[in-house]
Amino acid sequence: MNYTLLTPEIIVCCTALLVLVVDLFMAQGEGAKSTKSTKKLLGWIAIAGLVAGMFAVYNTPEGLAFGNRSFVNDTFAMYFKYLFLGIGILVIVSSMDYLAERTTHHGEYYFVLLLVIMGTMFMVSAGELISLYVSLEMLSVGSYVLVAYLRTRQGIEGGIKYLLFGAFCSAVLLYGIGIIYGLTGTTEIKGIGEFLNQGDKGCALPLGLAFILAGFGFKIACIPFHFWVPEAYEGAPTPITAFLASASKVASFAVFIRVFMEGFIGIRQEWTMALIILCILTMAIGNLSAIPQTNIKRLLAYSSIGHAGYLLIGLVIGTVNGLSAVMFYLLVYALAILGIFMVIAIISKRIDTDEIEGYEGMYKRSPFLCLCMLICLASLAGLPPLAGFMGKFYLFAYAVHAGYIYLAVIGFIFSTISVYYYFRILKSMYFMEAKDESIISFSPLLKVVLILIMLGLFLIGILPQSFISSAIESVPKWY
Amino acid sequence: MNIDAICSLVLSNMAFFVLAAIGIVCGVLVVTVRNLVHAVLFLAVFLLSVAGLFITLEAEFLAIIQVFIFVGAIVVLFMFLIMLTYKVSDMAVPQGNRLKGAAIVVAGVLFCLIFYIMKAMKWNEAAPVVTITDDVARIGRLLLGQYVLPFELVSFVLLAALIGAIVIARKGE
Amino acid sequence: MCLTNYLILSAIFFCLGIYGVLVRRNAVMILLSIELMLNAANINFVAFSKYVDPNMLTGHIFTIFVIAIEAAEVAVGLAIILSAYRHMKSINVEDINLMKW
Repeated sequence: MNYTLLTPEIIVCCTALLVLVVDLFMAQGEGAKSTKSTKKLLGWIAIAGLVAGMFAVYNTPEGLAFGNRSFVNDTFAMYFKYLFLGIGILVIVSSMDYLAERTTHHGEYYFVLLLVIMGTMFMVSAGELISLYVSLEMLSVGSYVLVAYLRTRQGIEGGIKYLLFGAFCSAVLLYGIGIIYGLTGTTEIKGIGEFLNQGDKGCALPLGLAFILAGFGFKIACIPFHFWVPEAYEGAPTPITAFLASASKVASFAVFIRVFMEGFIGIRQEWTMALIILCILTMAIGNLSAIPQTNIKRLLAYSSIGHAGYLLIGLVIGTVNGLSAVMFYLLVYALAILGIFMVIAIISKRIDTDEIEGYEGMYKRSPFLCLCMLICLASLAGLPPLAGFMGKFYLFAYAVHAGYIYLAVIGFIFSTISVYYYFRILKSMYFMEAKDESIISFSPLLKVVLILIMLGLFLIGILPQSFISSAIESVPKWY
Repeated sequence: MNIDAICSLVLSNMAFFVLAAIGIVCGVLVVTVRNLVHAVLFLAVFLLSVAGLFITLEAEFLAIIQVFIFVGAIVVLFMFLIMLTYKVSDMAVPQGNRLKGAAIVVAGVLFCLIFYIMKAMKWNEAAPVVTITDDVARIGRLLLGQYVLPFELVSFVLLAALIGAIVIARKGE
Repeated sequence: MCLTNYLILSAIFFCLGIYGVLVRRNAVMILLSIELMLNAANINFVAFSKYVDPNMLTGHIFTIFVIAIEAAEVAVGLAIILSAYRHMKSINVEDINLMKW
C-alpha cells in the first residue's frame, strides 16, 4: 500500500476537519464583528488547504495506492484534480462573500463543500466500481445538503427534487452495475474491459449498459435525465450552483470517460448509437428550452444541459483527440461558467432577485461586472478570440475528422442559437434603462479573481496550444 | 442422493418461494397503500424477507446487517419523520395521480424485458474452489484490506450526511 | 435453487419500485419505493456473488457499501423533507413542485 499517492486527498480531508474544529472553538460568545472575521478565516483556511492540495497533486507520482485498482493516480486523474481544486478555490472565494449575511453556519458549509471536492477527486481516481460508487455518492449526498443549505423555499424544493431523482438514478445505476458484475465477475473497470474484449457476451449486456448510461446521464445532466437541473440550479445558493455546473459536471464526465473508454470500449458499437441520440437530443432540448427562460439561473441551467450535449460529441468520437477535446472543453467551460455565477452571486446580493429583468441597466451600476459577464458569456457561446471558441473548434473539428459531420453541424447550429439567449442577458444589462442606479460595490478579492478569470479566457483563447497538448498528454493510454 | 440431501433441497426451495411470496406481497403493498405508517411497516417486512433471501444465498452476515441497518435504522428513521410531520388523523396521503396507467405500462414492459433477458441469459456460473466456512472473517479482511479506501470514504459520507442533516433540520432562524 | 429465480425476483422488486416512483406523489412514499429498487440491486449483487464469483465475495462487499450509503442518503432526504414540512406544511411532491419545468 502506498499512501503517499493519497496526499492531495488527505490534505483536503484534513482541511475539512480543521475547518469544522476551528468553527467550533472560535464562533462562540464573541461580538458580531469578530465572528464575521472568524467566518472569513474559515474560508481562508479552506482556500489554503486547496492550494496545498494543488502542490501535492504536482508532487504525487503516478501509480496504484492499494492492492487493487480502487485508487489509480494517472495523468488523467491528475488533470482533473487540478481542475477540481481550482474550481473549489473559486467557489469558496465566491461563497465567502455570498454567505456573509445569509447564514451563521459557515463551518459546516465549508466542511461539506470540502468533502464534496474530495469526493470528486476520488471519483476521477476510481478504477474500480465500488470506490467509484462510494465517491459518486459522496458527491451526491454532499450536493443535496448544499443545495438545501440555506433553507429558502426554492432551495428546499430544489433539494428534494435533486435528492429524489438522484436516489432513483443511483438505484438504476446500481442495478446496471450489478448486471455488469454478474456478466464479468469483477468490479474492476480494467478487468471488465479485458473480459468484454474477448467476445463471449450475452443479451444482458445492453440492459446493463442502458442502466449505467441512465445513471451517468443523470449526473452529467443530459436529456432525458435532466429534470432536476433547473430546480436544483435555481434553488441552490449561487456559489453551489456554480459548483454543480462546473465540478459536478466535470467529475461526472471524467467518470463517464473512464468507465466507457476503459471498460466498455471493446463493445463500442453497442452504445455509440445511443450516445449519438442522447447527444443530439441534449443539444436540441437544452438549448431550445433555454430561450423562453426569464430567470438567469434557470437559463444557465438549460444552457449547461446544452453544453453536456456538445461534450457528448467528444465521447462519441472516442479517440485520443476526441477525449482531449472533451477535457479541454471542460476546462474552458468550467472557467466561463464559474465567472458568470460569481458575477450573479455578487449582483444578487444587491438586487435580491435572479430574474433577468432585475439586470436592466446594470451597465450603469457596475461596468466591470458587466464586462466580466460579457466576456464569460461570449466564451460560453464560442465567439473568437475567447477560450470557448477554441474549445468548440477542437470538438467540432475532431468530429468532422472522425466522420461525424452531422454532429458538428448540429452542434454549430445550436451554439449559434445559444448566442441569441446569451445576448438577451447582455441586452438587458447594456441597453435597458436602470430603475435603480446605485453603484454595486464588492470586495477587491473578487475583483482580482474575476480579472484573472477574464485573462485566463483570453489567454486560453489566443494560445490554446499548451493547454490542448497537456490535455492530450493526460488522455490515458487505454487503447 | 440420500434422503437428507433431498430434504434440505426441498426445504431451501420452499424457503425461497415463501420468502419471495412475502417479499412480493409486501412490495406491492408498499407501493399501493395510502397510509404512510402502513407503507413503512410493510417495507420493514419486505426488508426482513430480503434478509431471509440473503440467508438462502449463504450471506448470513449481510442478512444481519440488513436487519440492523435497514430495518433497525432506516425504517425507524422513516417512522420518526412521519410522527414529526403528520397529524395522526391525517395519515392517508393523496396518491394515484394521472400517471397510474402509464406507470403500469412502463413497469410492466420493463419487467417483461428484464424477465426475458434473465431467462435467456447464460451466466458464467462458477463453482467455488474452496468451500467457504468463515465468511465474516473474510469480509472483515477484505473491508480493511483491498476495500479500505471505500470503507474510509463511507465514514466521511456518513459524517457529511450527519452534519448536513443536523444543519438542515435544525429549528430556528 | 438457481440463479435465474433470484434474478427474476429482483426484477419484480425493481419494477415495483419504478412503479412506485412514478405513481406516488408523496416524497416519503417515493423514498420508500426507491428502497425497493435498491434492495433489488442488492439481491442481484449477492446472487451473482454466490453463483458467478463465489471465491471473491465482491458482491457482498458492494452490498455492505450500498446499505451504508443508503442510510446516509435517507438521513439527508428526511432532513430536507422535515425542513420542507416546517416551511410549507406539505411533503407532496406536486405541491412542492411550484417551480415551472
